[in-house]
Amino acid sequence: MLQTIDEHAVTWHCLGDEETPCNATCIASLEEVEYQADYTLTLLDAETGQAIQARPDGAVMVLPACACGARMWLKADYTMAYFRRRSSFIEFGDGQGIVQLRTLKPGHARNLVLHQLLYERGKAPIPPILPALPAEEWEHPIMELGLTASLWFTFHLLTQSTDSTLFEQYFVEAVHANKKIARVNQLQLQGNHGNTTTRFSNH
Amino acid sequence: MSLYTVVTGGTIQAADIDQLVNTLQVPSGSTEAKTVLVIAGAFQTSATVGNWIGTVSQFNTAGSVTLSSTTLTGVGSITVSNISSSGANLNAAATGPSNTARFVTTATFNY
Repeated sequence: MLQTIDEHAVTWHCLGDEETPCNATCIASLEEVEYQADYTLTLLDAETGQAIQARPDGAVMVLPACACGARMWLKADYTMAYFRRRSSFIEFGDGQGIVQLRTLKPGHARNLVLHQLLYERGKAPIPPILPALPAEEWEHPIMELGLTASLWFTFHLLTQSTDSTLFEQYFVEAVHANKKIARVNQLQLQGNHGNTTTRFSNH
Repeated sequence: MSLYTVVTGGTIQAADIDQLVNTLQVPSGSTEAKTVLVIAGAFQTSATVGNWIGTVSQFNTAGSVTLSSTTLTGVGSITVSNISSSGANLNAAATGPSNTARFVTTATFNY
């Protein structure tokens, strides 16, 4: 998975495999990242038969090979159907089965951010399916970019909005909820209940 | 990580069940690795040698796939596409006609 992204470079952790463990931290400029799609699907309007959207199917972004020879491909063909599945998100609950916060998995959020950067540089023919993270959110004082992007994409999926002010409000509430969850976790651990409230959805 | 069995007559703990849950629904930060051999008769240069590589996990989608320990015989570099909750497609183009064009690689799905 990608670890960090900025406007010039990406870093990732190469694990290698069981036979040749690696553990190197790799870095590459955005110019070295390639977007690949084998063929393009054209979606047609059901009534008029007109082409409404062209989408490269099975698209990936390819990172340069690590010194150990391992090479990483990142998913770049996200669809709205994918985001409608709850398994795309990490859910934080209150321990009583109530979901208090849901965020897109940060790895997928970073892929979307990288896809946007490649699109802006003319290296990808179409933009990612969700709107770009606003420039002012790139260096958030509290959160790492992957988490900020996770919240941004989740915010858009929930509200269909790209309003930065509304997002800031949502962001503060999410951070507050996260702190509350952390507190509940702490209390539960102190009480030796043995359960954490963080879980991964299977729906 | 290897799985273990529950002793007959013993109490089944949450961790015992989680072995299966974490295998079928791999949590974020985990990986699933598969070493594969793909072989095909290539009738001409650039003929595709490829196959769908399925994962045991069926619910979550990997954000990336890493190929390592790769050996190519009669094919050019491998490409990955269509990363989904059930696997990914691995293809390579033949470098010439061959009855045994093939590649061996370890595909690691990163969740």
